Amino acid sequence: MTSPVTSSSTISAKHRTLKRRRLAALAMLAACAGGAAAVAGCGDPNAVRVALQASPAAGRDVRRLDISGQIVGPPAGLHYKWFSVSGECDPQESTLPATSFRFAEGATRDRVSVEVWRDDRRVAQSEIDVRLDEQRARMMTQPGPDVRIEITQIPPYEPEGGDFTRAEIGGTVNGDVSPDYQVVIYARADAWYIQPNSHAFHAIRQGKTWGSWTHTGSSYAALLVRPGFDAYTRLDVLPQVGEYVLARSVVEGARR
Amino acid sequence: MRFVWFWTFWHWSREGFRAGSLLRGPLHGIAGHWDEWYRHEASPEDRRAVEDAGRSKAAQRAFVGWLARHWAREAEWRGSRPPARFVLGQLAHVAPFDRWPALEKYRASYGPAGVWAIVLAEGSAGESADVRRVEALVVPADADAAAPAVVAEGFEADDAALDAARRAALGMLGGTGLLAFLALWVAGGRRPYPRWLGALLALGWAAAAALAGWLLVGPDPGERLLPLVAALAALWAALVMTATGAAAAVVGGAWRLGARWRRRLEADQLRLRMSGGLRLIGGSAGVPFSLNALLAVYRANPAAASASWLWERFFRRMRAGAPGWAATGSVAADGRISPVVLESKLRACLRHEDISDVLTPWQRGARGRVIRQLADGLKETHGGRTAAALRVGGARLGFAAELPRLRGHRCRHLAQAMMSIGGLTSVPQVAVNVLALAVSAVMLAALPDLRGILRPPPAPAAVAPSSPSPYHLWVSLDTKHPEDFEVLLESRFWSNRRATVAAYGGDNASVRAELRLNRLDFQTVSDEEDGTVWIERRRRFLTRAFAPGERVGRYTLSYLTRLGHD
Repeated sequence: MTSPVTSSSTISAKHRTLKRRRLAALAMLAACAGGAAAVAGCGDPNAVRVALQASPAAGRDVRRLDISGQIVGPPAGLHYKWFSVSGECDPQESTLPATSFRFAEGATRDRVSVEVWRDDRRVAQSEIDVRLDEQRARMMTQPGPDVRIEITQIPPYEPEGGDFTRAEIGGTVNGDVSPDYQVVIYARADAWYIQPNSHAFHAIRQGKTWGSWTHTGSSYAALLVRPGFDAYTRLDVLPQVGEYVLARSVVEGARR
Repeated sequence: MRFVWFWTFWHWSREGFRAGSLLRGPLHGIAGHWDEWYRHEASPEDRRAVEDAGRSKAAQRAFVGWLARHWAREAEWRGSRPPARFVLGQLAHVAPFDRWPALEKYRASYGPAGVWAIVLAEGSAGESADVRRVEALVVPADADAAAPAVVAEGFEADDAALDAARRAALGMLGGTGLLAFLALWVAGGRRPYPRWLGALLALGWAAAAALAGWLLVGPDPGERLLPLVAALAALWAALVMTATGAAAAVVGGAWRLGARWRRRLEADQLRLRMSGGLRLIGGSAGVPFSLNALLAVYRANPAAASASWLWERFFRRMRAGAPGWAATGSVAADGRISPVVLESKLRACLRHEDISDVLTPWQRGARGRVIRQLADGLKETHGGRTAAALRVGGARLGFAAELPRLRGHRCRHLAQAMMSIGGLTSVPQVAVNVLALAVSAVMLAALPDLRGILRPPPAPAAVAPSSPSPYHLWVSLDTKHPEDFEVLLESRFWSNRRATVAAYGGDNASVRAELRLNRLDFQTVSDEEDGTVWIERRRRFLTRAFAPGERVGRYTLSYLTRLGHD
């Protein structure tokens, strides 16, 4: 007959063996799971996401907006269905992530949404709240204030211009100038480039002067603008005076 | 029960030792104990039975067989089985066994010899008699704490030299020596696979190398890239798992058994026997002593070797080949082998007709060219003497007989000696290992690229910052794998651009592509916002970029220009 001591020590030895086996099995499972996770990575590599952007349409129709979708994920084989609450999208179904939206009569707000489809499966959707630019609509019907802008400190004429050049530019504003007004500077190389940095606005100083450093170019332009002006970083053609642009001055660089 | 008298003697001996009436243990003192028992303690019936057992040579052989097969298995002393050869060797010198012809061979030998030692007699220039038979045996140590761990029989040697040989053998069973042995085996040792599997694995590595080579320099695989890379990764993983799994199993088994044998050798007494009554000067017999000590541990329990493929193969080859192997070299406790005087010893081996292989330290004098020159020199002497002696009546007789060819094996460490004597070194396996290492290095270096193809990272989104310079377009992406993506600008106003994505530091740190904008001389539209930016996944294999990349993102130029400023 086995003594209780022997019996309990045998049982504990069996327990230890079982524990070791379980630990080994767990370690193997963990290793397998780790390997599987490493192989699986994190997330579907072909998942599609879309973000919408609205911008004023070219021309003078303030009720029309250009809506474009920015696609994350493989865009091949995708098509897009456009929806709004009260306005109208044209086209309503497209193979490119872009449409033209028009507000409904009397509406100043809307919500544009897009569904992204691959074959017969919806793979993503997004929406954007849009507002009618009422200020712009008002500005189109009302005459602007009597203001002028002048460039008095003209940088040199350097047609190549570009990143590695630097010069000073400055000038004055005259007329019915509000303190909210700002100056946007452009220098022309192969196109007009905003100066000195992307999205740079310059305040009007006391004495109605303004100034900044700039990269050089063949010509220079200064725009006196209202708050809310969407300053393009690069331009082919400078904007005309009207709506947000109150005054404009263009000079050729100073030749030495 | 047969030979009850021997059991009677054995129990009398054990109990006498336990009671303190006998000073030596029953195993080490078996000869003296037997003499005492047979003369004074044995009953007349026992004596008659002993006389009956020795009456004829056949009856003597029956007793020897019984002692080796039955008694040695059943008797136990200090937790071990008594070695039958040792018991027979001891009994063979006392009455009445000293008159038994059947025990003749046990009087001067413990049985099969191991690796021969080359010990030059004083003034010898290398004669065949200088190649000496060495026998080793492990015997459960006596209870006497002062009992030596190594006993030299038939010769004298420095205790330090014998101890170094024993410690080297211990190290080869479980210690740095065994690590060196296992490392050598892993690097280029014969594997336990059947021949067909070995060939299949070699072919597998060659196929993996060919696939990797094709991916690096072959034609663009196009749509077949994914299956090709998947096949390569699966093949490589299978080969690595097979190789490492087999190696780990062999190494683990060898380590466990080695540790068990080491404990046995530590506990037991090692007896080395070399006839001639020599007084050894220097430790140049250290290598054969160590190797024979290992063989003795194996012979004490050969069945245990089945637990380890490596030890089993080594000892099987050593046991079979030992009569043709000689060794010389001074061995340190850590297994390193030091140079010794060689020329005369090689000459002795060349003159010994049984020696085909000799283990030497790694020294100039052991090169194959030197051995050949020595052999040629001996041949000329031998041939000249023969020709002179056999010129009969003007007629010359020709002899086709040659001195036996001797292969030298130079070793820096006892582990190398074991690799040689165990026939474990495999040139094809070395070649396969080199190929496997090269392929694995390429695969490890290409792992991120393989992952990018097999499990591409998610498509990244464009994020801030955008470029502060109006002359540049920055496409910043929220990805941790910039090397897997490229950015393309397609525009009718600006020059098309393709740019790699990289991580930038500084004030505007981000993962991004930087594109220099340049207006086309002949643009087809006057819209400076015209442009589509595509994010492309790159598929690469080390230095090779495959085409075309998969497009995984589409942005407008105006969106990216305003990103972070709206």
